[in-house]
Parts: sequence; structure tokens; C-alpha cells
Amino acid sequence: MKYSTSKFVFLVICLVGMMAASCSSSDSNIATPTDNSGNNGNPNNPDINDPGIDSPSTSDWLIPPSQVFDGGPGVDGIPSIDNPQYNSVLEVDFLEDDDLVIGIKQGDIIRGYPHQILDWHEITNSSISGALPLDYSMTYCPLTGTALAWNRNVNGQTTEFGVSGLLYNTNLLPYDRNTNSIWSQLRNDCVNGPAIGTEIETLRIIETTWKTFSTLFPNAEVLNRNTGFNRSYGVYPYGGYMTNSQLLFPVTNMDNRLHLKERVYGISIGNRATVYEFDTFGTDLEESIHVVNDEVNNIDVVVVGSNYQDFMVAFQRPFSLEFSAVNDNETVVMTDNEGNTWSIWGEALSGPRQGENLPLVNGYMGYWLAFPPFHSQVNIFE
Amino acid sequence: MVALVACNKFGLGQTCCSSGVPISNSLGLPNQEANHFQALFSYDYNYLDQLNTGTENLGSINRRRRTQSVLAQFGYTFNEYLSVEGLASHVSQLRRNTLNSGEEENTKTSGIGDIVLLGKYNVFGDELGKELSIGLGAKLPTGSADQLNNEGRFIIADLQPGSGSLDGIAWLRYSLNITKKGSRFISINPSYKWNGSYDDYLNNTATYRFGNELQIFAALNDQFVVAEKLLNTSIGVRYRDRARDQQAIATAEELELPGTGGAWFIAEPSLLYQLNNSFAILMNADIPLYSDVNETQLTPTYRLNGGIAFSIPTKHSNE
Repeated sequence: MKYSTSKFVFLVICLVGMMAASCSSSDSNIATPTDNSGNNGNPNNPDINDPGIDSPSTSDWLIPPSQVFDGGPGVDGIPSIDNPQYNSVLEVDFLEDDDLVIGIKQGDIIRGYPHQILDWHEITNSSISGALPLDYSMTYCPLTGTALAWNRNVNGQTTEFGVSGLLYNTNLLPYDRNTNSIWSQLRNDCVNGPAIGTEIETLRIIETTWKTFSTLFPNAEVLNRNTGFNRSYGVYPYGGYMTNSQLLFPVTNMDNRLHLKERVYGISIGNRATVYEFDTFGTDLEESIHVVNDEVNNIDVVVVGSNYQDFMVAFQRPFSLEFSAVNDNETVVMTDNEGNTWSIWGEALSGPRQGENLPLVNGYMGYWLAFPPFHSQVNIFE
Repeated sequence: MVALVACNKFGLGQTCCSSGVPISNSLGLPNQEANHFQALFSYDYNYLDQLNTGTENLGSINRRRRTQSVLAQFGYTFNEYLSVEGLASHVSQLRRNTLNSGEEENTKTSGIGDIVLLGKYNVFGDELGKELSIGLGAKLPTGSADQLNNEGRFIIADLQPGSGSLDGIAWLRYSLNITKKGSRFISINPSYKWNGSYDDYLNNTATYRFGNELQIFAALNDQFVVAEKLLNTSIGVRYRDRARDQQAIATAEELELPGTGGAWFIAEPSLLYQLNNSFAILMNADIPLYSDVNETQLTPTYRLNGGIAFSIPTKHSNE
């Protein structure tokens, strides 16, 4: 039987279409960077029909397992940055003045980690070499708005942390790649696995705007977008979550005294916390720095911050020191009753205690919703 | 006879982070003569590994999704106007992540899926191949929507075999022969699904509602004779527009979930080979052409479907 040309063409199109679908592979036309940890896996073209491994059963948890939820992406479904690259402040051209950055200082090295990159990766495994070497993870949970830096030296071994894909009280649960144990970001301890009960050492950080960070630390290094992954940095991945009053996952204690997504600074000591609102530290039109000498769960603390410059940090107040704010000084933010001057990192820059550091408290910026579920009592400083 | 329009659609909905449970999003067994029973058994393989944000493709990632379904569709034509059909399925879902260590981590579910029922009314059909049918139906929450992983943890909604919700379906199909004596015809098949709410989500702490979905499928169909048997072919394009999923935690209002919903254009070639008047084998595929997803999400990479179809008269017909 002879067919018309149009029939023949139509049949060919159908057959080619079927073949094209059958031959589709998982390789992308866009060059997919290799896994940035340089491991021996082949993440770019795995055979999905291989049996693989099932998630191992685990038993002991320090948190109720019924309150641990699968966030959706699975283990390493949100990839950590394991070979971070940095630019100088002058080289950064992808941040706006109001973009939030998390800063960390070790010796003379200051680094900034933009929220717009951490929104997509949540964890960056970094190292600082030199006179004061440090291996650390910058962890950030977009759902609680909380950033904490962890020392990656755990039980005498350096590990890397990854995103487990699990959440507790809508907060990030990292896992360590040495033991596959599960950790709680806001509890700062291991809650499941071989390292259960181990506490993590947190490091001093500051969260502020790019404008403030780049002004205060012009010689800092800033995590750049050469992460090894193709992501839409600068586009917030969670829609209206940052400003709406809703949750994506359950929490054990919903407290509506403040808007759930109001950014506050909280000091967590034991099962109690005190949170500080930006309004405590001036108006958003007033550039000055303010200081609060306070007590949280019987520990003397000092909180220094500025609403206008968008930062709050806190330290312990040893020896019953009383602090007051210092303004119009590029490096000094407060002084004390002994005559010491202190930097934003809690370093004594001059005075009898020059060279000393104020002891850390477990303090961090976050959404208000993050604090009530992890504490039996949360005070709002007024 | 297994109808010439059989190629028109036995395809399934896409499963993925933006789609939820795989069901027959394009119902509609071919119109038959009165007192005919039809059955279609098919296997469907749906694969997703492309990460998209809006219209931008970010490439493949270390996270993949796969849905395998075995489907059984049954239909009965009462008379020249009325027919009913139903669809049942067994669904296996897999989320596979390749870890930094190179190992792979799996999350799996499997089980009976939701059952779909559809009643159809043949508005008109003539010898010139012009047909219009409309239908109303429902998807019943017969599939499991609360499976746990091997650690006893609740598995997310779009990895479950069922949706846990009662949904409504509206359906229409129009076809027209575009050649006087030939076998070539065009068809258009819009449908809309309203999704109910699953009220026992996340250990009874939340509700979940998949996004309502509009689909419009347009195809060009033709016939050939191969080895003395009819080969029906179809080239179609599907437009799919799905609203965001919604979730409510505790007593809070429903929240539209980021990273769900979007719009897609999908090419769908189909082949149906009629072995005899009662028996045919078929194959079809989905090839994504364009997508505009909400925020960032895995989006369908390809889908393959193959099956066998039967048509059996239950009474003597006036052939």
C-alpha cells in the first residue's frame, strides 16, 4: 500500500517521538558540576533501577521521633557547599544593601556568608588555615531563620555536616558524614546515631546587612556563587514564607506573642530564653548603637545592637561588668566600667583586659517561631 | 472494535514534587457501540530528575523521583449516549538521593492507588467522525496516604500511593475527522480536577490539598496498515496548569506551598496496534516541551506507558 507523503511524515514523527522519550537520560544539557566534595560517587548519572540502600533503622533519639519530619528533599537533597570559594568585599557585585550576611571571625580572617546562597544549601563546610586554623560549618535554616557556626572537630576527628532532609520543630537537622549521626541545629547536640549526646562547640558569629558588613569589615572574604551547583541565587526559594504567619511543618509550641517571622535575637541558656527585638536598639532611622545589660537564667549577659545597622550580638558579662554603647567609632561598639573598649566580636581592644574575649552565650538571630518550641520559658525583653 | 480514537489518551498524570499522586489525568476510553465492555491494562514509568526554577532548567541533580504504576481501566457502554468507566492502580514511588559519599538513600512507598470513576454522556457522534462527549467523575481516596518509612517517619504527600482526598473531575472530548474518506482526525480533550483535602496529614497534625488542575490535550490522529493490521498513531500536545498545593498546620489557615504547581507543555506521541477487532496493544510517551514551575522543584523528565486493550460486546450488536 502506498501512503501519501503527509501520512509518511506523520508516522515518522510518532515513531521518533516514542524513541526520543525512551532514550531520554538523566544527563542534563547544562553542564552539571561534579559533586563538589570530589567523592567517588557518580551523582550525575546514577542508575535509578539499582537497588541502592534503604535508610537504616535507628532506635534511640533524644527528641521525640514522632516530631521529626521529612522535609521532602531527602538526605543531601539540599546539597551542602563543601568547597566554598570567596571573593573580597570589593569584588562582590551580587548583593544589595539590605541582603543579610552572616559573619564569622577567626584570628585576622573575617568571612561573610550571604543568606541568598545559604537559602539554597543550608550548610557550608569551611576551613581556615594559618596561625589559628579552624574547620567549621556555617549552618543556616531558612525555615527558622537561624544561623549557627559549628566547630567541625567532633570527638577528636574533623567531620563534614550535610543536610539530612529532616526537621524538628521546623528546624534543620544536619547529619555528620563520619558517623551518619543526626544533630539538632538549635539544640547544638547530636540527637540520634553513634554520636548521640555529643554537644557541638558553637563559634561567635554576627548576622547583619551587606551594607553594615561591608562597611565594618572591608577586608573580609565573602562566599561567592561558585558553589559547584546551578541554583537561582538571589531568588528566595520559599515564596512568601519569610513574611507570612504560617508554618510548613508542625512545632510543639506555637506562641503568638510576636509575629512568627519577626527576626529577633535570642539568648538560650538551659531551658529558658530571652529574646530581644530590634526596637530595643533604637529606631530604624537612628544610626546609634545601644547596649542592654541583662540576666538570663541567672547568667549576666550583655546585648549590643543597632536597629538601623541591623545587628544584635550578645556575650556573657563576667566579673559583673557593666557596659555602655560607643558610637561614632569604626571598631569599638561598647565600653565597660573598667574602661575597656570592646569590638563587635567581644574582643577587648584597649584597657586592662586588652586581648581578652568576652565568653560566648548561646545566642543567635532567628524568627520568633524558633524559640518557644525549644524552651519551656521564653521572655521577651522590654 | 477497539476504537480508532484509542490513541487519544490513556496517559497518566505526572508524579513529582509538583504533581502528587499519579492518576489518570486524561480519562476517556474510546466511545464504543452499545453493550460493549472495554478493558485497558497498562504499565507506566514516570521519571523526574530535572530541577527547574520558573522557566529555567538548572539541570539534573542528585535527587531523582520515579513512579511505576500498573493500571487497570474498565468501561462499559450502556447505549449510544451513556457509558461509565473506572480506573484502579497499583503505585510504587521512589525517591533516590545520591549522597556525597556516593551511596544512595531511598525512600519508597507502594500500594493500591486512588480509584477513579467517570460517567460519560455522548452528546453527538456522526458517520463523518464528529463526536462530542462530556463526563463527570470522582477520584476516591482508596489509596494509602499515610505510609511510614522504615524508621516510622511519615512520608510526604507526593510520595504516597494515594492522596487521601475525595476529588471531582469534569471531562470533555471533541473529535473531528478532517479528511472526507480518510482516517485522519483531530481531537481536543480538556479536563479539570478539583482536589479535596486530606485531613490526617503528618500524624494528624495538618491537612494537605493537592492543587486543582486543568489539562487540555489536543492531538492529530491517523491510521496506517502495517502487516495487514491497523496502526493508529497520534501526535498530541498537552497543556497542564496546576495550582499550588495547600497545607495547614494545626488550626492555621491553609498555606500555599512554595515549590508546587506550575504550567507545562508536553508532547505526547502514541501508537496503538490493533491485532484484531477486540484486542490492541499500545504505547505512548510524554516528552516535556516547556515548563514554568512555581519557585524551584523537580519537574518531569520523561514518561513511558505501554499496555493492552480489549473490547468485548456483551450482547449481540447490530454490526
